[in-house]
Amino acid sequence: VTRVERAVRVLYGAVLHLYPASYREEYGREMTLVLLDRLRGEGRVARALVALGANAAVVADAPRQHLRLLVSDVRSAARMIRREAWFAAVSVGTVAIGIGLSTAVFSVGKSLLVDALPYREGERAVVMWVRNPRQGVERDFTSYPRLLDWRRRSRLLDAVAGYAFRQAILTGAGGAAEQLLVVRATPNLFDVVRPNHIVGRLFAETEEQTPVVVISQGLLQRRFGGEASAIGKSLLLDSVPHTIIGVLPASFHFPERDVEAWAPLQPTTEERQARSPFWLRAVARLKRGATPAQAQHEMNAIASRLAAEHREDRGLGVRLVGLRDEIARPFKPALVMLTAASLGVLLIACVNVAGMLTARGAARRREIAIRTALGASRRRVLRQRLTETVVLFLLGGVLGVGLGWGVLRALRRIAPPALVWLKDVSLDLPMVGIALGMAAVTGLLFGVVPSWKSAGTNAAEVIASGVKGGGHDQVSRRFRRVLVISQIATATVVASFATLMVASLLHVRQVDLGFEPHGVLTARVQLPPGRYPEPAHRQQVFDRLLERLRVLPGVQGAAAGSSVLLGRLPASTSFAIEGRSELIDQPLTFDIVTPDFFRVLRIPLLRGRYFSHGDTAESQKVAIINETTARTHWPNEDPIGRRFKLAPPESDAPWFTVVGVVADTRRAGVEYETFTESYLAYTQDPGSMTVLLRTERDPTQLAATLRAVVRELDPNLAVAHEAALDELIADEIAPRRFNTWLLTAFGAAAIALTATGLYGLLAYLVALRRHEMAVRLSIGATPHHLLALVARDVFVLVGTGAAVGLSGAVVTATSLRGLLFGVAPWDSLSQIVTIGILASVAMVAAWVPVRRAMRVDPAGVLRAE
Amino acid sequence: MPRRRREGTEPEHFLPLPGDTFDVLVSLADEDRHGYAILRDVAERSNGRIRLSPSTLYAVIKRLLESGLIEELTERPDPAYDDVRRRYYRLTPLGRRVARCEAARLTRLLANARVTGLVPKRRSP
Repeated sequence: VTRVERAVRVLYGAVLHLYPASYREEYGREMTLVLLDRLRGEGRVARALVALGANAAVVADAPRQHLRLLVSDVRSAARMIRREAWFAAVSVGTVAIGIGLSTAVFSVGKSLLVDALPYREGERAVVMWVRNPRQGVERDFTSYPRLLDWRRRSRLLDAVAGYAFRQAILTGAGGAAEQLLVVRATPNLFDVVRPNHIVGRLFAETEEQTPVVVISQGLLQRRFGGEASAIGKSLLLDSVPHTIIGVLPASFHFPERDVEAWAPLQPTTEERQARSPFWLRAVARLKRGATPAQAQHEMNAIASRLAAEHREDRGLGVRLVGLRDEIARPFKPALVMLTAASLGVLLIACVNVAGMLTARGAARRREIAIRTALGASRRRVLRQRLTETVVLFLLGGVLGVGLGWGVLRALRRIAPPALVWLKDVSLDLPMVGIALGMAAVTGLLFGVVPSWKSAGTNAAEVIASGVKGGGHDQVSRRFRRVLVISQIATATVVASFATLMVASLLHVRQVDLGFEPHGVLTARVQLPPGRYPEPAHRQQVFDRLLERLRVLPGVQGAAAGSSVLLGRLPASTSFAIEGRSELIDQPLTFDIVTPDFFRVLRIPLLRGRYFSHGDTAESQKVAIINETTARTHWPNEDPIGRRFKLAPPESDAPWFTVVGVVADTRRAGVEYETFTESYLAYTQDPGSMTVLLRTERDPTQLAATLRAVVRELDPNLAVAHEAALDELIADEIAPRRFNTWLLTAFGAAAIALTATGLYGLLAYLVALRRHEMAVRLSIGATPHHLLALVARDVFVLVGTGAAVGLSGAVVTATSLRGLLFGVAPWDSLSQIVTIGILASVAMVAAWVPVRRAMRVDPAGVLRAE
Repeated sequence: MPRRRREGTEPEHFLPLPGDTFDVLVSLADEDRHGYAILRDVAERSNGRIRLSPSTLYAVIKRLLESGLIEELTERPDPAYDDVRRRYYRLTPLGRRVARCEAARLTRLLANARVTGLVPKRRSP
C-alpha cells in the first residue's frame, strides 16, 4: 500500500503542477489526501481506474482555474484603470506611440520584404545582371546574342527573358498623341513574371517579330473606356499599327508602374548580331527545386566559357539577384534606419511605462504588504501585477494599431512619386496580430521587474514603518535611474542620426549643380520615326519649333538636348582617342544638343567655344566635353582640336573634334559623381529631344502654350513630361527629404517621451528628498543649494545617457553611412546640436521639480513628520 | 465588465445551482465535514452513482468559499473526529438559505412534472 501510495503521490503531485501555483498551494495537499482516502480499500483495478480518473479530472479542470484567475486579475486590472485613470491613460498613450510607429514601419517593411509579389510564383523570378568590372559597373545590361546563349546553356533557369524600354508615341484610339512608356520584351517575359489573371491572351512563342501589344488596365480605361472589346483592335505606336491581344490587371506592374504597354522585342538585325552593346535587361525564372546559389554557380561557369569564346565577353560575369531583393534594394537602408528608430521609440516608451509602474509599485507598497499579510503568496501578487501591466500594454497596443493605421494613411498621402508603392501598403490582419503580440511581449518584459519588486515587499517592515508609499528602497531608485539613462542613450542615438540626416539634406540642397535649373521649363518632344526619316527633316522641325518658342512673350531662351538630367546609366559608350591604340572602357556619355543648350542652362564655357549654326551636317563633326573628361583623358594638355570616336579605334566610325570644354554639372543627380561627358551638335544627328525654355515667370505657366505650338507645327508630335526643371531636381531628392522628416518626427517622439521619463524620475527624487532638503534649509542652505542638488542629478543622468548614446550613435551612423551625404558619421557639429537639443529639453523637464525643490518649506515639512 | 455578485445578496441570485454544488451544500447541511467526508457522503447518498473527483470537489469548494456560501472552520470540530491534517467546512447562513431555495425550486419543478403526468403521482397515504 505504501508503495502504491508513494506512486500516486508522485504522479498526482506532478499533474497538480498544471494548476496555477496559488491554487495548488491552497488545495493541492488536501486533494492528494482525499485521493489517497478514496483509494483505500479498493481493489487493484479500481484503484488504477480511480487514480487515472482523478488525474484526468485535474487535466480538465486546470485550464478552468487558470481562466478564472485570469478573469479575476483582468477585473482587478480594470478596477485599477478606473481608479487610476490618469496613470492608465498616460501609460496606454505612451505604449500606443511606440507600438503605432513600429506598426506603421513594420507594415512598410512587410509589404516590401514579405508580401507576395504581384506575379504567380514570383519568388522564383530573378534579375540577371552583367557584372562589368571593366567599366566599373556591377549591374550592367546584356546584349541579345548573349541572352540567347544564357537561355540555351542554362539547365537551372526555366525561362530567360530580355526586355528594353521604349518611349513610343501613341496616336489614334480616341485622344491626342501621347508618349507611352512601352516595354519591348522577348515573348517569354510573361513566363517569368506571370500575371495573376489576364483578359485576352499573352504573347505566343513565335510572336517575337509580330506587331501585337498587351496593355495595362489603366490604358484600357483611358483610351477605351475600360471596354474589353478593345481586344482585337489596333493601336498606333510610332505610327505602326499594333493589335491589342490582352489586358493585364491593375495590380500587375513590371518592371515599373509607369509602363502601360508590353510589345514583342522585334530586335533589329544590328541588335540580333552585336554582342558588345549593353542595352537589354534580363530576367529569368528558377527551375522548381533549384536554389539561387546553384543557378549563380551555373551562370558563373557559363560566363567564363562565353568569355573564352567571345572577345566581347572577356572580363564579364553574371550576377543573379532575386526579383524581390532587386525591387527592395534601393529602399532597404532607409527601411533599416526607420525600423531601428521606431524600435528605439518603442523601447523608450516601454521604459517610461516601466518607470511609472515602479513608482506606482512603490506607492502601493502598503496595499500589497497588507495583501501579502492576508495570505496572498508572492507569486500570486506577481501574477496579478503582471496581468495588470499586460492589460495596460494590450490597451496601448489596440490604440497603437489605430495610430499606426493613421500614420500609414498619412504616409500614403505625402509619399513622393519615387515612393509611389507606399500607396499599396496597408495594415492587414497579420500585422494587427504582430502589433498586439508585440504589446503583450513588451508588457511582460517591462512589467516583470517592477512587478517582482512590488510583489517582493516585506510585509511586516512596511506595515510597521507606517509609510504610505514613498518607496525608500535604494534598489528601486537605482533601477529607475538606469531606466532613464537608457532612455536618454536611445533618444540620443535616434536624435543624433536624425540630425545627421537633416545635415545631409541641407548639404544636398546646397550642392552646386553647375547649371541654373530655376525658371526653366522642360518637355520631351518626340518625332514619329516614320514621318521624318531624314536627319535634315528632323533638324528642320526642331529649328522651327525653337524659333517659334523663342519669340513667345516671357521666354528668354529656348534650346533642346537629347537628355537633360541623366539616369543612373545614361546613354554612354566606350570610345577611342586619336593617336592612342586602345579602346577606352570608362564610358563616355554623349548628348546631342542645340547651340543654345549651355546658354539656357547657364553652363559656363571654360575653353574653346560653344556650338554654332556653322556646325552643320556637312562641316567637320564637333564635340564639347566636360571638365572631368578633359582632366581624365587629357590631364596635361589642351584637349581643343583633339579627336575621338565613339567606337573601337580600328572601326571606320567618324572622328569628333573637341571644340570646347564646359564646366562639370551634376546632371546625373545631386548625390552622384560627375560622369565623363561629351556633347555633340544636334545639327549632326537630331532625334527626339527634351526642349528647354528659360522664362521670366513661373515656367509651368508656359506648358500649355508649348503644347499648342507643337500641335500647330505637327499634330503627330508627342509632348510629354512637361515640368519645371527645379521641380524635377526636387523630386529626385524627395525620398531623402521624406525619410529625413520621418526620422526627425521619430527623433522628436523619442526626445519627448524621454523628457517625460526624466521629469517623472526627477519629480520622484525631489519628493523623496523633501525631508533632507528641509533639514538642509533649516541649517542654512539657500534654495540655490537645492537647485544645485537637483541640477547635479540632471547632469549625471543626461551626461551618462548622452555619452553612452553618442558612442552608439557613431556606431549606428557608421553602419548606415550610405544614407548620409556630405557629413561624416562622427560629425561634431551635428553631435553638438543633438546634445544642445537634449540639454534644453532636459532643462524643461527638470524645471517643475527644481522649482518644487526650491520652494520646500522647511518648517512645514518637518512639522508634518 | 459585469459587476461581481456582492456577498449578502438574495439567495435567488445563485440559482439554479449546478448539481455538484448542490450536492456539496446538502452534505454540509447536517454537519461540518472535511473534503473526503463530503466526497464519501455524496457517494453514499447517491448509492455510489455520484463520485466526485478531488479536483471537481475543490473547484466547487473554492467557488463556494469565494461566494460566501461555505466557510472554513477556524476552530477544530469534535476531537473524536478531528484529523489535524484536514480542513473542515461549514455552511454559512447564506449558504443554508441558498440550498433551501434550490431544494424548493427542485420541488416545484417536480410538482409541475407530476401535474402533467410526466412523473407518477405520489401515492395517497
